[in-house]
Amino acid sequence: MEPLESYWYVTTSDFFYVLVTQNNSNTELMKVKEVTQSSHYVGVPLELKFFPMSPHLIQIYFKAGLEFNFRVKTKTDVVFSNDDMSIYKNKIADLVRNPGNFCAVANGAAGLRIGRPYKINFSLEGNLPVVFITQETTGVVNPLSGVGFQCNLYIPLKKVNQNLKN
Amino acid sequence: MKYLLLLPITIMILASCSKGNELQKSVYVRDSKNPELPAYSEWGYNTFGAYYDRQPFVSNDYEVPAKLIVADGSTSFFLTGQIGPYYNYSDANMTVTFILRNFAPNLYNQLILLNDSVIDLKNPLIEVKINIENTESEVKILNGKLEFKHARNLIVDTKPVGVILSGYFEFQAVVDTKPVTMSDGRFDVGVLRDNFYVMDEVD
Repeated sequence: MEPLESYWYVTTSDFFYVLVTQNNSNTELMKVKEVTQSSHYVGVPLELKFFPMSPHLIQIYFKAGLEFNFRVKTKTDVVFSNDDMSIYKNKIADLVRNPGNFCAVANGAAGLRIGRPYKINFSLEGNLPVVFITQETTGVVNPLSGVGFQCNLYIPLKKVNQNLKN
Repeated sequence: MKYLLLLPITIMILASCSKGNELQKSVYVRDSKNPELPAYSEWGYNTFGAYYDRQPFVSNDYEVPAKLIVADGSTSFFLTGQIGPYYNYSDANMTVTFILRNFAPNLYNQLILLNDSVIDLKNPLIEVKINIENTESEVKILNGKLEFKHARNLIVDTKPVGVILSGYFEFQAVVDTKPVTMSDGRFDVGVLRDNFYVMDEVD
């Protein structure tokens, strides 16, 4: 398979050309307005949190984390310039690479926890940076790093012995 | 374990709403080995380039890079661009024409007959013309070839719209008593209704 970039021929109109096939006698293009690919993952996080101050209702913390994600489902949608071409949707979708089945992400974060430890609490954290450890993470683009934010609602399922509290 | 909805990716390439025929425009991809020339391609990028002695002869954005005119049982393959050391508007206009006698397609899709053909420019059925700044020179070919490596139907949304001609050319010639060499020539041009002419139909 040739590099993905070869399949896209960008124009100044509201569509771009996608090379569907090229053989010895034909070059076949299709006018496409939009390609959307969505992937769903189930992830396992592994986190180390550091609370620099003694427990308070509102508390700052720092975090180093790893996240192991397993792809469950990928869906690719295509919007053609000519609606009659929609029967060829699978042809275009097949050209878009599927992401790898596994992706791992490392991140550092700083956050704010609201609530008491081991009780229902809420936290908001900014992830900087988020580094993709695995390559070929996604089908269309290959991200290397990024930033993000995360909201967490912590609901303890089991009452914790008072002696374990900090 | 937690559930993640990760990585929704949307490609949206939305720009201005020009309704011109995009397939007639040029896509210039620089050749890494010969940076003054476009890279060889077979995508219908509407570019060509060669060295005329040491000067680059290349297509540009304001001249139609290729035209094919069928007249009197011959096909003239025009490559029009500019010659000069700089890729700018002050460079001189230049056209090289390859005239193929005994080849007269009625429709552009018949150009695929040229697929995988190498034409010896010394063949008496072939004539080469060079025009620089509207001055045509007398050309005597010493040796050379015009190679149509691929001639492919161009199909858009399942309908044929033209033919993509891609290949190479080179020759040595005496041009107005001066020996010159055209080297490293390459072309990748789309031939559509707009740049294919059958002059016999006019008569």
